[in-house]
Amino acid sequence: MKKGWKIALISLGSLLGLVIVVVAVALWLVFTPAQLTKIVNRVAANYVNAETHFDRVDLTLFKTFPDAGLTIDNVYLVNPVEGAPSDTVAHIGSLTLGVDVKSYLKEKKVIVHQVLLDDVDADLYIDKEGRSNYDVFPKSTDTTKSTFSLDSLPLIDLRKIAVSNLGARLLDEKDGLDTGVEGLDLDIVGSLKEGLVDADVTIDAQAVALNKFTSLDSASSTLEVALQNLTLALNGEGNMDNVEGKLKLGVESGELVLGDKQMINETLQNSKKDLLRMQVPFKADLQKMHIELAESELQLDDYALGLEGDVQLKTAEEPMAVDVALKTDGAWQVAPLLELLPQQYVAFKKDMKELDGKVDLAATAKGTVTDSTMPLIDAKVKLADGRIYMPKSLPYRINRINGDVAARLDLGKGGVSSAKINSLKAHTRNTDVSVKGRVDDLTGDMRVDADVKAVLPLEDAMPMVPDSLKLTADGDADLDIKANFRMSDIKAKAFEKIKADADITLKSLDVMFDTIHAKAPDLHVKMRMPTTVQAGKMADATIVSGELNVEMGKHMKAVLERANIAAVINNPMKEQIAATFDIKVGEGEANIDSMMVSLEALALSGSVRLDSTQKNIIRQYNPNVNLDLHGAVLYMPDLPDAVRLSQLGVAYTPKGADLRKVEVKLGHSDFQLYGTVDNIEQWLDHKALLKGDLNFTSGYADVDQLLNLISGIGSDKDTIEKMREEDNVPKDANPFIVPLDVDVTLHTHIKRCIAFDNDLNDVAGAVTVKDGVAVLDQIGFVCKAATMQLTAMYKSPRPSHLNVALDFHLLDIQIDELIDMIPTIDTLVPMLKDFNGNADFHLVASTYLNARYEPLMSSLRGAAAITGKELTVMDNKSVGQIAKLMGFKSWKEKDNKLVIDSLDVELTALNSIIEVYPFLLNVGKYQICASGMHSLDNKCGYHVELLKNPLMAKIGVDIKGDLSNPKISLGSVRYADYYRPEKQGVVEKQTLELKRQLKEALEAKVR
Amino acid sequence: MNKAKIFIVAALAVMLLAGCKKDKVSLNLSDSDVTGTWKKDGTSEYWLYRSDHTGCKYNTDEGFSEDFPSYDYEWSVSGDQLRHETYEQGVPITRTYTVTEISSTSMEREEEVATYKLTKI
Repeated sequence: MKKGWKIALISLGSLLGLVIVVVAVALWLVFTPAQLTKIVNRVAANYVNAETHFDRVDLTLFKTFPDAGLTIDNVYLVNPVEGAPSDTVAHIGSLTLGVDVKSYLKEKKVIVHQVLLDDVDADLYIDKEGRSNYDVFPKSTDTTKSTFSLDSLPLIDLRKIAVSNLGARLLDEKDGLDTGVEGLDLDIVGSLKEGLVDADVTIDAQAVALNKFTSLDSASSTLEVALQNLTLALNGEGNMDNVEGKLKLGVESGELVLGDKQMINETLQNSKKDLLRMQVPFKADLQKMHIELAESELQLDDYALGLEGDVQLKTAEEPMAVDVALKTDGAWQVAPLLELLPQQYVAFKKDMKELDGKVDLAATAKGTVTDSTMPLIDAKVKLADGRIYMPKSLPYRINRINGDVAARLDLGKGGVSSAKINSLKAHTRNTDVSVKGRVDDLTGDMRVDADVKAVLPLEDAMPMVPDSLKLTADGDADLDIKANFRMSDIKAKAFEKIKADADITLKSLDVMFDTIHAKAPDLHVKMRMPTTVQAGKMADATIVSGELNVEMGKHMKAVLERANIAAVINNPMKEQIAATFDIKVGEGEANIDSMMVSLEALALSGSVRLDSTQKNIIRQYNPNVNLDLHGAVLYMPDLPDAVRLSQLGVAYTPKGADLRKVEVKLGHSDFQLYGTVDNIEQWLDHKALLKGDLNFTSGYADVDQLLNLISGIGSDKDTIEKMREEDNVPKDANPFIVPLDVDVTLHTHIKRCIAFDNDLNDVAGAVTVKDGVAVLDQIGFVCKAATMQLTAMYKSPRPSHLNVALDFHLLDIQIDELIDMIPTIDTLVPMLKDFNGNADFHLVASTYLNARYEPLMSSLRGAAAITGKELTVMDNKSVGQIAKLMGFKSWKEKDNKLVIDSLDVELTALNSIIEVYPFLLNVGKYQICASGMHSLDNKCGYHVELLKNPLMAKIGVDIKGDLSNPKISLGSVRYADYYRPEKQGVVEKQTLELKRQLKEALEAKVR
Repeated sequence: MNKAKIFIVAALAVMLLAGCKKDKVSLNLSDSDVTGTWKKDGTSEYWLYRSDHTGCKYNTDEGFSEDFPSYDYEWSVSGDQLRHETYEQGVPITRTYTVTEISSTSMEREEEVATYKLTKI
């Protein structure tokens, strides 16, 4: 108890003592008011250090019956103190003492039974130094005055003290306190005798006010209390050290302002019920300042709390301490309670249209109250039948919220509070959620460790999904999520620090995300954070689905069976998405535009790193993947046959792709591919050619069909179509258009193939396609039992004008088969068809071809060389005529056939003219030299000369005119004896030139 | 006398023989005679002689044209000879045609194996 109150009590007691003296004097001396007044005034001066004044002292019997009373009117105690609002410390309108008449008459003892005060006004003041204006009684060291103590009042046997209409104010500048009462009536009935008190105290006050402020000058108040119609009933007994009793307190209404916050809101203020009611049985040790509370009740409006325990008030030796328990009296209804709470404490419910339930609270508070400590609070909260409705966040109600939470609050400095959620369940529409766990560091950086289980239709979760996400989902989810995280990590999006274990089962899933639609009858997702699979990554997840249907826009549909997806991902909030994945699919089928793919097994593993700043799709995802495909079948509308990939193994990095094994069957063709493909990223950006170095092996290949597959890649189809229309290319003529934007070399090994209607065997060699130029580099093959080698360059600037330059060698070929294979030879060397037998044929030429691969003869230029032995000449009219002119006596020597021992001829073609250089023919004993030209419109001019014959005569024959029916006549002899025609080497020369052109084409600088 | 007679008879014989032989008149071609575009009669074959002595041949039946010819050459004239020079597969090739007739609208020339008539376009 503050020292000031003790002083006040002592002062009051001293005042009473003074009055008793007056009574004694009155009884002993003269009973006149004037003399009484004089005496009291004089005596008072001896006992107080302030100005005192009494208007009148009178005797009464009625007011104090059965005691005799002494009434003093208008008692003034004046003690001016600088700064005090008033010099008058107290004014009592009427002060009456009731004295026991019997004791006085019988024993001459003055025993005071009653003290009555009416209309009391007190203005108490304590200055900044602690000096008070009511400290009017002399100290024990002051020997000029007499001192009083309560112990020196043997004649007091108080049975009644009554104060009516007391108005008092205490202004304490030292402690910043301004407090006061108005209209207070006090009744104390009991006994106060020899320091023992047994009393019933009743106090009624119209108004009680208290204002705690930081300084009188400032307007800042830290606490304002204003109570109206306060009633207090105290029933107790004891002495000034120990008191025991029961306190009842009621406050009809009031205001409480903490700082600038109104703690009693308008609803509470306007409530018809009393603001506060208390019933507190207690025991108090006033020396130790310790209060023991028995089962007490506090009621705020309609809400009652049970309270019991101990309170230690602060002393010089002990800090304030509490050890109390409180509990709600039955369950409290939340909604009306929230109406009564200060607005600042219920701001959280501003978006809630409904928040209600029944709350049961039981709590204990134990501990000291110091600058750094607060009592430890253990609370148990039970919630039943809770309901929440927040339409802005969730368009439906959450009902049947039942919870059991135990909280420990340590509000002291550095204290850590926590809450244990024993159970929390809620229901909404078709969803049931239950939560167990704990929350630590409630008032700081909360750490949550929770286990959330829920069974919900996904439709119920959709309102929580932002519209901008363009996500809708249907199906049922069964969640079991264990999570451990700090709120600061959530706010900072440091998801890599969050621990979580989620097990989610989805049934009848139907999800639409932007243009992606996925359906799965059952899907199981397991997710774990952080992941232990890969250091530095945030989470790993596995998704297992029996059947998964995916549609992307209108262009792609896929059905995957037994899909198993495992992925590890980083924190997408902190950096660009980076994930590794391992996808296995049992069976699958997909439709991409008009293409259909089915597969037996797929394994795709690798990593991606998303870089949304890039435009190039590969640079956006930076994939490193391994793909293994088995049993895939591809149907494309342009292909009459399906493409069957029995195996596909590809490893892709941004540097390029490594085809480990690709086994394909297409129609009658089968082939395997392995090698590398590079520059994929740059190719997609059109900054470089797609480079490939591949091995192509095949048991059987339909070259025409395969060429068809790759024809026109990189070309604009509309441009090609336009060219076809301009050049009137027949619809059934579809020449091979060399792909653009690629630089691919195929090292081929084909056992058997069909190419341009020819059956070829043992094809080996390199084929290069480089940005519109196709080069065959020394391709060797066997056709019609002849060994062949072909080097060629092929371009396709227009479908009607294909350009080919070739170097072609056929060894040991039947002449008729040669003509059958290359019909153009008959045009070039029409007389060749008159020969029979095997020959070696070498051709180097360039020409344009039409869309059916037929040479455009006006553009043909080249050279050929034919060598043969033991050739027979077919019998025909021209040959017969020539033989006759040359005097071959018996030219039909062998089986009626003319046999050429050896033949070695060179010819060139240019500008539609075929020039045959002089060559020798040996026919038995005869030697013939021939040379000449013919044009492609079948005009000829040849000279044949007999150089050696048995007759030793030289004969020349001219063959001119139309090739089909030439004019054959004797001509001049041109060649000297022993003439030997020189080898022109035209084939060799032109071959060198062709090789130079090929080299140029292959080494051309690329974009 | 005999010697003189023999001489006279021989001379007459020579004169007779010389007279019997028809004199061949050789053309002296100029660049302007040849410059232009000529079409070989009965074909879709065109021969272009530019004033800078370049030229080309193209067959429109085969889809060739002046911009996309089948055969390029450099040409020159000397007397009645029209010469074409070109390189094929790195090998220099010369073709020489004897022009037997030429006018502002037509040309006749002996090619390798036949004589053709061309009409100026």
